[in-house]
Amino acid sequence: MENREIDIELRNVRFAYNGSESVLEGVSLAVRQGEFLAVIGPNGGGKSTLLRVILGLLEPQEGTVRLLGRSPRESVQRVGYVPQETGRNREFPVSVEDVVLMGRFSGTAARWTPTAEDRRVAEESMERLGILDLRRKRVGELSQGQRQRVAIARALAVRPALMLLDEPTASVDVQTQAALYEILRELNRTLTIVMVSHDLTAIASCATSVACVNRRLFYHDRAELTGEMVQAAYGSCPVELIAHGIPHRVLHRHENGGEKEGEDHA
Amino acid sequence: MLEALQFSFMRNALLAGFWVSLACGIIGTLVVANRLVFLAGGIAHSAYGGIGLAVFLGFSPFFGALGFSLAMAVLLAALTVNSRHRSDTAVGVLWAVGMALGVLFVDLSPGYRADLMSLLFGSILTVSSRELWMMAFTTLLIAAAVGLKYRDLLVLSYDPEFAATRGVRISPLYTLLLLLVAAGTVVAIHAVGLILVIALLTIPPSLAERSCRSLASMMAVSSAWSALFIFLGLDLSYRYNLTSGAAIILVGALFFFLLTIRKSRRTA
Repeated sequence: MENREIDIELRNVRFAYNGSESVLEGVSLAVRQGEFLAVIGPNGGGKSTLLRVILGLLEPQEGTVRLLGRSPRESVQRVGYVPQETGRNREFPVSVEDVVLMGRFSGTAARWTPTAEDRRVAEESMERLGILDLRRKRVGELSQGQRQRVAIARALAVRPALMLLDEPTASVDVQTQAALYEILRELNRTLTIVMVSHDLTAIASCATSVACVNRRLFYHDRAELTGEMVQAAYGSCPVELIAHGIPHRVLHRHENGGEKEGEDHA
Repeated sequence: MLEALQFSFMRNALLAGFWVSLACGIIGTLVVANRLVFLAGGIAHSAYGGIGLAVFLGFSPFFGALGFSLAMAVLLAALTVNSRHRSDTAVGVLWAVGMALGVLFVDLSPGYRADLMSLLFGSILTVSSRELWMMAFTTLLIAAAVGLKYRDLLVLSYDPEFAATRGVRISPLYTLLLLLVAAGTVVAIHAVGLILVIALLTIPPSLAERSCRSLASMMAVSSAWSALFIFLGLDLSYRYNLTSGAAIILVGALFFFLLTIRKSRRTA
C-alpha cells in the first residue's frame, strides 16, 4: 500500500465558516489508491466539511489540498460524490434515469445534452446498483434505500477514479445497509473510496483504514479503532460505541496496556 | 366570452394571457423547484421602484420595472448565492426598499397617476399592442435561455453541491436563474400586477409538480394551468365587471384548494 499513488493529500488544513470557530484544524491526511477509508466522528465534528474541502467546494483558510495529484478544481470532475441524503428533493419532478445522467453532465460544456454513450454508462450504473427497473420512476416514489442507490449510481456514472460518500447508509434498514456495503466493497476493487459514516459496522465490513474527525483528524491505517482514537475523537468512554453487537472486534486490543486503558476510562 | 372577442382589447388580453401563461409556466417551475418563492416575491415587489423611476423620468413603466428587477436579481444573487437557506433577511429588506423607492419617486412626480393601480393589481384588459410585442419578445427570450441551459438548470436545481462537482460554476448560473425569474415576473405583472404575481408563479407549478417526471413537463403542465386560470378569470371579469387580476388569482386559488383537499383526502 505504501508505494501506491496518493489520491488525496491534505496538509495542515484549517477550515472555518465565515470567521467563526474552526471546524477543522491541523488536518493532514494521505489516502492512497485502492484504499477504503471510513471517516467516523461525532455529529458536528467536521466529517462532511472534510469531504467538501477535499472536493474544493470549500476553500480552507490554511493548508493545502491535492486531489488526484492536482488542485481540487482541476480534478473534481473525476470524483464521484454521494452527498448526504436530506430528503429535500422528494417532491422534485425528475426520473431516476435523469438523476443518474447528472453523473455524465459536464458544466464546462457550452450546452450539454446526453449522448448515446452517456445513456449507456448511466444504464450500466443503474444495472450495477440493481435499480434499472426503476429508471422511469419519479425519485419521490422511491424508498430511502432506493434513493441511496440512485445517488451511488449517479456517482458511478461519473466513471470516477475516486468516490466520496457522505452517510450513504443513513436511515436505511439493516438488510439494505448490508447490501450497500457489499456493493461498495465490490466497487473498491477498482476505486479508491472515502466514506463518512455513523455506523461503526462499516469499519469491520469494508474499510481498509479509519479516520476519526473531531475538529482534528486521527488516522489509523488498519480497519480498526484504537482506544486513543476514540478517546481523542469522541472524548468519552468508548464502551457505548463498541456495544453494538459488531461481528468483528472494532476496538483493537493492544498487546499490552489494554487493561491500563480501560482503567483510565473508568 | 365569444362575443367579447369582437373587441380588440379582449383579443389583446387573450394573447397577453398566452404569453403570461408561457412565462409563468417556465419561470414558476424553476421558482418552485428551487424554493425561491419568497425571493421571487421580493423581485416582483421591488419592481415597483423601477415603475416609480419610470414615472418620474417619463419613460415606459414596463422598461422601468424590467430594468429595476433585473438589477435587483443581480444584487440578490450576489447576496444569497452562498447562503441560500439564510437569504430571507436580505430579500425582505430589498423587497421593502424597492417599494418605498417607488412610492417616493411617484410622490416626486407631478400629477395624479391612476394607472399605477393597474400595475399593482394587473391590467390585462388594457395591454397595448406595443406591450404585447415586448411580452412576446421577453417570453421567447426566457424560453430560449431555459432551452439552452436546461440540463444545467436541472442539475443546479436538484443538487447544487453535486452540480459544483460536475464543473458547474454556481454563481453565474444562479445569477442567470434569478435574471430569468425577474424577466418572467415583469411579463406576468401585466396580467395580475406585481402584488398578485407570486400566486401565478406558485399555484400552477405546485399543481403540476404532483404528476410530472421532468422539469420540462412540469413547465408545460404549469403553462396549461396558468392559461386555464387566466381564461376563466378573464371570463368572470368580463361577465361581472371584476378586476381581472384578482379574478384570475382567485380562480387559481379555488383549483388549488379543491385539488389539495382531494389529494389529502385520498392519502388520508
